[in-house]
Amino acid sequence: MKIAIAAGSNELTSSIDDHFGRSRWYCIFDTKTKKHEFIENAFKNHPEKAGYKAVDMLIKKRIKMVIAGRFGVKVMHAFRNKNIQMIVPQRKIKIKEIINLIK
Amino acid sequence: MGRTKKKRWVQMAPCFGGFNPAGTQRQNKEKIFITFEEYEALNLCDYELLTQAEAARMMNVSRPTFTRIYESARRKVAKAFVECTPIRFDKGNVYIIPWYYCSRCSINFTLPRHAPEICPFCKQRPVIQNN
Repeated sequence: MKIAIAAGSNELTSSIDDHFGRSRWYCIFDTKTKKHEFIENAFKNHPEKAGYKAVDMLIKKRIKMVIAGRFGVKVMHAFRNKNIQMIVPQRKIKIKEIINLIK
Repeated sequence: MGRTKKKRWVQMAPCFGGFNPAGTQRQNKEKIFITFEEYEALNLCDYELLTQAEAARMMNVSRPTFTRIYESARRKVAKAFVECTPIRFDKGNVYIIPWYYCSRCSINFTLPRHAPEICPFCKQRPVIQNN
């Protein structure tokens, strides 16, 4: 299963980003291969509908779970329709810790 | 008898109970109750900056109904501001899309369709539905 985490920077020690659509990077972690990769969010400065574009990009990568500090309503709606699980941690948590929890 | 009201969809309920005015002495003021549908209408229109038609679709009501809810929300907020009364949230006629909470991992999460009710991190039960 593939998991996308909204990341503030492209390092494992960075904490998750507060907003899904406007996050700078996404960390994609594959639970089968235990590998991660960082992809830049090309749409972060889009004037509107940045979230939708990011959703489309992640769906193409066959993501099944997304983690971010907050989701906008449009994004929430889109993920729910695609049956993708959303997770919102209630405390500051680093990407490294999330990956350790999921492994 | 009037027709029963359609359930308004709320994507995520607020995680706090309301507001109190700062710096006032009088405690036993009458409270203003804002329902979840009104909260959601304000959220969609003025925070997420959707158009009323988009927001209406999101809440699964017609556009005129949405406008009515939104109008009532704005009036209540204005009334509370001007008359300096506390605001409380109240469950209205809503269907809140379920979110779950795991106290061990302190995360909020949704579940995919037909999935068992377990926390995605610690794989344990129970998880609380936090509406």
